[in-house]
Amino acid sequence: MDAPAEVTFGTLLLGGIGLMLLLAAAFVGFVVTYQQRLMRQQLRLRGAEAAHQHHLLTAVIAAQEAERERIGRDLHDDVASSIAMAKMLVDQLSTAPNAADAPEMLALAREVLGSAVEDVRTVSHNLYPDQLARVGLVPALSHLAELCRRTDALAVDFDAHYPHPLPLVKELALYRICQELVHNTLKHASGAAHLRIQLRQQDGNLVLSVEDDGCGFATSPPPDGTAARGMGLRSIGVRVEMLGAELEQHSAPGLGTRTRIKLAHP
Amino acid sequence: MDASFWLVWTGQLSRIILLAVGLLGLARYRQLPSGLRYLVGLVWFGLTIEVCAKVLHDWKGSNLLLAPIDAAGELWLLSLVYAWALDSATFSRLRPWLFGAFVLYAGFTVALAPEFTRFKTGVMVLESLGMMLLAGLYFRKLLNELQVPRLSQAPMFWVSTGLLLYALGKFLIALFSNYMLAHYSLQLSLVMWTIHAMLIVVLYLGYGRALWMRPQR
Repeated sequence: MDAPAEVTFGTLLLGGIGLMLLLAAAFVGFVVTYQQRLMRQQLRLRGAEAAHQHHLLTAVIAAQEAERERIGRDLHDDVASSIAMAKMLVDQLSTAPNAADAPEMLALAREVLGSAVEDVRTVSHNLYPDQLARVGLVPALSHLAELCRRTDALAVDFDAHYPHPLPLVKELALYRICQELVHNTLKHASGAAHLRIQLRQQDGNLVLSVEDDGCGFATSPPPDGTAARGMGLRSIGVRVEMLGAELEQHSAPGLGTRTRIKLAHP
Repeated sequence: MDASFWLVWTGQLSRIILLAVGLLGLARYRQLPSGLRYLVGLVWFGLTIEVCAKVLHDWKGSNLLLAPIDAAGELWLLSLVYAWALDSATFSRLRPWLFGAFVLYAGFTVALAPEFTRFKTGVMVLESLGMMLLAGLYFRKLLNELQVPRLSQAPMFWVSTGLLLYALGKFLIALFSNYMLAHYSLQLSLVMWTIHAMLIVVLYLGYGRALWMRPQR
């Protein structure tokens, strides 16, 4: 086959080189544009992550402050007042040890001190449920249910199937979530007569569910975003995230509240 | 003014720019990271080849013999630059084999079949492909890792851009270099090698830009 005419070949070759250079320039342009777009996306993502972290940190600090306030209130209202009363009785006994009502005063002081000891135990248990570390999650939740029953506010059912325990840190997080949910029921679910706590392990998942038949609430998001959520719910959210679990909450006015925390646990 | 004038002119321009980039590299050598020091080495290797080519030309010898040596040295040094820039264990593991094989191939073509009147098309085409591979790997890394906030501040972006433009243009010229010599006038070959010299200017400007800026890794 004859070679094409020089002009034709030269034009073709020049065109080819020009096309190659255009392709190279277009490719570099694409890389620059696309890389900038990806960078902007990454920056937005990092910003959102930072905001989320800030939100979590705020929730954790707020939860800590609330817990300290509650402990302070418990100590002041229950323990301190009981001990002050016991001291007053002991002072009276020391000034008049032979008074006619001394035995009654002594018995009263003993009773008040016993009550103070019980209050200290309750505060201590709320601070750290040592039962959890000693005997595990199921007895600790059972004890929580029992404490709830003692308030005489509502009937409590507790049901557990939990053959393979989680690490202690995760159990503690689950316990705190359950404690917060029970506390929410007692505080907010007016009209509730029944509370059911379930801990079930099945199909590679562990599910904690807390259900009441109280007044419920509208689950539509608050108009000013998550910051308007209750501190308790934010604290639950932080722990759910720490566990890598899923949180489902179903509620409606007059229809009670059902909260379900599901985490993978093969 | 015929094509040989432009070829000489662009050739001189490219050598002046190469010398300027080499001096710039020497001046900034201490501040440069190890990868860009290899780039300075590459520029001085290119200058050495230019001097040898000039000596051969003055002695009426063919400097086509130097082309495979230039290609082998250039691609090997570029592979060292990119081993630093890519920072990839896989690339570092494969680099000696891949580019070592090319250097051996280029060496064999010089030793076993020395050419004084024809181009080593295979060596030049493979060199272009190797350069495209290196530039492509760098652009891939840019998009995958997103570690460079401003590409204009990345020395290797300029090296890779220059390399891609040069290699894509050279690829076609190299592919048809001997065909043009055999079938067409010398004028056409000179036009094409003038374009090649202009692409070299673009490449050296990319090197110069990379060595000029303060590197940010």
